[in-house]
Amino acid sequence: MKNNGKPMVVRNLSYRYSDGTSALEDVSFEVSNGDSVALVGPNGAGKSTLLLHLNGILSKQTGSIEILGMPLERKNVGSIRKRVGLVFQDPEDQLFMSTVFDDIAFGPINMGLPEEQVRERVRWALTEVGLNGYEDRCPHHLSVGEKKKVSVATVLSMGPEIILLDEPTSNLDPLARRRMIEMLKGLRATKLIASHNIEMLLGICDRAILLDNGRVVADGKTADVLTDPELLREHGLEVPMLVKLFGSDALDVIREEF
Amino acid sequence: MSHFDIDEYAYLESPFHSFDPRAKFVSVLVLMFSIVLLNDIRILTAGLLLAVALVLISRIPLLFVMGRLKWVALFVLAVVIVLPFSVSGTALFSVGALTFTKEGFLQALVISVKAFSVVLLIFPMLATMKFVSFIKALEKLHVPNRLVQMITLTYRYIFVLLNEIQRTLRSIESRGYGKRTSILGLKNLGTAIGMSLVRSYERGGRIFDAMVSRGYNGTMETLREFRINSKDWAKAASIVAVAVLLHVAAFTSSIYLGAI
Repeated sequence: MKNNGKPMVVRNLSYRYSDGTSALEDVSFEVSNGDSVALVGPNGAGKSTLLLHLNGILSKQTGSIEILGMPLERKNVGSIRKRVGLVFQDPEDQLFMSTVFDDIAFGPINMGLPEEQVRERVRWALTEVGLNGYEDRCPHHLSVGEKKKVSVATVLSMGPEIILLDEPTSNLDPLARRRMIEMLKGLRATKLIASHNIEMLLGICDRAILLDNGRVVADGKTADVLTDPELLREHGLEVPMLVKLFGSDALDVIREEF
Repeated sequence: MSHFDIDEYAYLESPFHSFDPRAKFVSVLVLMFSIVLLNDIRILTAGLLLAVALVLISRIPLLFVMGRLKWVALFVLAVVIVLPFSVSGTALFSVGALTFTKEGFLQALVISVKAFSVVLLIFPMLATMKFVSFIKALEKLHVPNRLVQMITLTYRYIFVLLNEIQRTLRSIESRGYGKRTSILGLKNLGTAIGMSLVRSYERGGRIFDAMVSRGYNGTMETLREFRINSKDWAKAASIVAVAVLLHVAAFTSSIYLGAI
């Protein structure tokens, strides 16, 4: 049951932490099938909290969330998690098993897939992230870039239709960042990417949602939202240097670069 | 930041390295229990020599083994000093009001030999396989899954936790905290350890979220990767046979030579 090509529909979502801090206030948006959507905002804006809602880790307090045509409720949360992959910001949180193979196989095993399919999915996911041969490596012996890629592979192996990524390029050196971006561009799923890397988002996302203090303050084309110096400054962000220097002419360069 | 490599000697070649982890774990465990349940010092000495022989067969460097044994020696030393003076029996000599007895000395000897034998056997059992194989062996042997999960997560995060504590201590040191013995120093150290605990707790929550987001439902499963062959069965049977033989020998010697 698809929702008119809208795999993600969020309506009036609000959330308060147990200490009373408001994390999300009346958040509403829709995402179309195959979209790459940037989620931007200053630290503490509510980006991670929103992502945790979309995978059913946090339960909505008010409002409604519909994922792939299913209302996000207790009875649907299992099937939604099989189809929505969440890549956490810190790979140390994401990679909890003793080997790369076991970590990537964790999701498919929990989905109840037969052994041969699990092995096939692990092989495929490792190929997608360019880390063939890493099966027996221990996560704590990997570089940060490798850990980030394996984190993505742990989600890819579940074959999700929607992938939520929390700061996929943070703490990466320039080369690892470039490789990660190339990999993200190649992913065919609907993507929601929370990041402070505005250049990357301009390069790979068509649309941007700007959050501040738990509210959606802008929602539109990346070329409009992420190149507006006033808007970004007002919400603790900055347009990339290239855009500052060359205005909208820089967009073509950035898109080519990414 | 560097830590010791737990799998340092897991890649050598020896009959123990090629031994199926499950069969190795169970058979050596049987041998350990067999030795612990013995009380005849003559048979125990044979058990100790056997343990040394198995360590040699496993090709684990002796220097590494000796380095670990010194910590066992510290515990055993306490027993060796206390027991001969605290167990009543035939006096061999006296030091002031304390009497050194033959029975006490024998008991201390029995405990020491058992301790060293069992600890020595840990090397061919655990150091000859990757820790991950050990965890998988436990899982396949149907050790309670929660226990396996605890060992898996401890192994995965012990290094992360150590890094966090090291980072916190470095940060404190970089801000001029030198006198560790002062009251303020102890307070700072307490704060560092407390902060690490709080961070670990929070990380635990995030890890749980990551597990749940990938369908975790209380059990943690991995795929089977072991294949047991006839050589493994032969090795396991030999070790178990030796374990049984030790008890047969103890029983026989108690009949013909009398218990010591």
